[in-house]
Amino acid sequence: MDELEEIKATFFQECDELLGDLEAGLLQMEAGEGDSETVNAVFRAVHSVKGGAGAFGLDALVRYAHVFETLLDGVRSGSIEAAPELVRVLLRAADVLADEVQAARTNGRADEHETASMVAELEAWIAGEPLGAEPVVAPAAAKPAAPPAAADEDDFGFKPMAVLIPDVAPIDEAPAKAGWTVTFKPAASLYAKANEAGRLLRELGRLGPVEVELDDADLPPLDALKPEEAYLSWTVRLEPEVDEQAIRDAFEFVDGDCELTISREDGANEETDLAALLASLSAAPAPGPAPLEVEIAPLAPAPVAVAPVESAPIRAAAPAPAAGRAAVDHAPPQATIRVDPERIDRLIDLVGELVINQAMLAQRVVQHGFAPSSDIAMGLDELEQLTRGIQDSVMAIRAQPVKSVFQRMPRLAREVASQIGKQVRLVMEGEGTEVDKTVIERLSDPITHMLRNAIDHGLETPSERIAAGKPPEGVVRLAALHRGGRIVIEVEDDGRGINRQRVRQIAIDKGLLAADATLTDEEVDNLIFLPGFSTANAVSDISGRGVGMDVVRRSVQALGGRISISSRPGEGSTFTLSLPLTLAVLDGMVVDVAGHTLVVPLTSIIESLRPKPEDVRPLGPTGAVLAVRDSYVPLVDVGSVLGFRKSSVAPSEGVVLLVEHEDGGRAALVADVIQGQRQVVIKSLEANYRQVEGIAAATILGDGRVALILDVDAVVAMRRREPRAPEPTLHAAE
Amino acid sequence: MDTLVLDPVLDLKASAPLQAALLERRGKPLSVDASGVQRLGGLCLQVLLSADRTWASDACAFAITPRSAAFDEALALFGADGRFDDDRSEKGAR
Repeated sequence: MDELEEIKATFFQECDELLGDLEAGLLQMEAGEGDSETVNAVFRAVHSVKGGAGAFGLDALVRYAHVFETLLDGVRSGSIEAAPELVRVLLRAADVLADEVQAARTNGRADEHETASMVAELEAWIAGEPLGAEPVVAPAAAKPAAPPAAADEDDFGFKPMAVLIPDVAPIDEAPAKAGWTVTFKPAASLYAKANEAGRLLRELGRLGPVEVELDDADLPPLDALKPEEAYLSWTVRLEPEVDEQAIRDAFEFVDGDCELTISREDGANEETDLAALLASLSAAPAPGPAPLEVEIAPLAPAPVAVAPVESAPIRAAAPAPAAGRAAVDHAPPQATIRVDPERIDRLIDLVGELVINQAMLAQRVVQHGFAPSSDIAMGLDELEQLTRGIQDSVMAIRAQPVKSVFQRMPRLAREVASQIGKQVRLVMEGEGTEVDKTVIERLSDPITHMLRNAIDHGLETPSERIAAGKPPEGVVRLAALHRGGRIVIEVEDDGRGINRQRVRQIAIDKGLLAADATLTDEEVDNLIFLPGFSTANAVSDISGRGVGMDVVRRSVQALGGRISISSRPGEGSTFTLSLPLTLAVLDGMVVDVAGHTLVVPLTSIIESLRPKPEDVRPLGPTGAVLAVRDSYVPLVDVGSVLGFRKSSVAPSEGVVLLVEHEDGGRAALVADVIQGQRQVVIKSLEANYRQVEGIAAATILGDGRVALILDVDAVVAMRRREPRAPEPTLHAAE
Repeated sequence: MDTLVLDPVLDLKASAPLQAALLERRGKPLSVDASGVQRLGGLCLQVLLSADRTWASDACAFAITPRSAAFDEALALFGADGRFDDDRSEKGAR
């Protein structure tokens, strides 16, 4: 990938995080929990998106983000009150920002009409006339005294910028006339990261009239010049009214990539470098300013630098949180590295090999008759522990918090609710719960579906809720947690619950259930997962899109997961989804079938048993069923379905694994012998060979042989589809 | 007089080629055509400034003309307006 494209890709990754922070902050504000710190985080998220977008020339995104940012700046400076109706507008504005980012990412176009109307709405708020139907044009007086330098930005509609300055100005202006002198010298790395000195100058130009002085004293003659080295520096003088924080904000993206000095022109006041500023800002324990390798010696850092901060834009706050805030905003102290996922996948593969190799070694040691107490065997035990440790650690690298999936949900909830005229508050818990990347990518669809379902079918309309003595706003809780080595996702609503009578009737009407069947409440609730079941009387636009809960269940089961629902009439329903924490290893039952070793995923197995001959009953010309307690389960001879042997063995001579397949139905898989239960490393058969029907993947066993991992659903479906010629099973049953 | 036509986008990636193109023309009077420039970054600015100074030391004429509005605006933004104007005696003063 082109270097610039790579940086751009990183920018978009950061955008995802920033948009998540933005939404989280706004939701906090909506819930009335936001303080100045929250407002500032929200502002900074938009500001950062804008800054990055500017660096890549994503003009449409910059234009929109700028208007958004301007309004947020007003909120954080206190000139615009963060009323609930404004926060709702901001939430929608965040959605539009997400669209704009997405459009920029895909080189597409966002909905221009939507953006334009949102801009108009935001500008109306900026102008203090939120209810005005007409898009408000900023008064002429508010035009910034833009220096010629910013001329190329005119078409960006940056009108409102100057509005805020008079408001902020009187705050920290105790000493008389003193302008700011900003000196900065970009390092080569600044340009290498696709930043531009020009952008910084332009940012400063937006703060008010500037005088720019170029210093090219270090510039070598052309033949000695290294084209990607940086030689120039600039001195910029700004009006004294300009807020120091705003100056620093302009340099936010070039931390460590430029030498920066900000000083008062009268020289009596602060003169400090970025690192010293940051250190002093975060009054409490300074976040190790390591990443900021600024070369200037920290001059007189402490006493003076703190003062302006407290009077900085979030003046509403008490000094303490204001100081703490800076620590949060600047250079989040958690050091992270971005790694190409492929490298991690490769590492995981290698560790998988290591686990296999270690198992093989252990097996050989046993074969060679070493006693378990021998040095070699004990050394191998230690090796095994270390290997497991490495495996766990490597898996942890690829683990990600479910936040990346969760953060898309508030928007979904808002949109679904407004589409069908319901009021909903989405409460999310456990966003930090971690799960393997391979799983996280596939969580989105089922969660989306469950959430739609909860809002569309679960929650009542506001009037129904009031009639039922509930608040008009429904609450949907989305939670993630670890339980029993699996990740559990719960979607709970406080709606009407499942109408069991109706569910049962529908199931009977559709021939999915015998009219006289006796079912527990739980069983009735779970009928909604049956294929072809839909409870909505009218197919709604929201969840009844032809994709029923059965599809969700199937996709969840394909991942080795389970989904269920429980319901309390009148009080609400809870969907519970559980998935393995990883798709890289699997707990399986190792069985022998016709001389082949197969692994059956443990999640599918309900029980294993050795059937008595009298429990096996012939059914039709080729089939047989097994009587398990009070029901009959179709028998599937894995060996003959997969073509390992021509004729089936008598189930009573082997073992039977009772499995649950995709439709919630059961089947009895016939195998010869159970070897045991163990964790295996999943190797893709598709990637290494090709897709084989009935086989989900492969693994390598301790003895070095390849074992196939059974795709239970596929095997059952194959058996159904291809009834084989004379089956000895029948005779065996006699 | 030799003429060098500048690329529209003079960013990070353009600085090395620009330097090479200029060095090829060293020792002769040069007219640089900036009429098509849409974007001028700091790295290319320093190449042009260095070239201007180098031509001056070679006692050769160096002029950037014609210029696009965007080029002039960028010079103003960088505080470099006037640097490429005629009065050679003032050049490189800083």
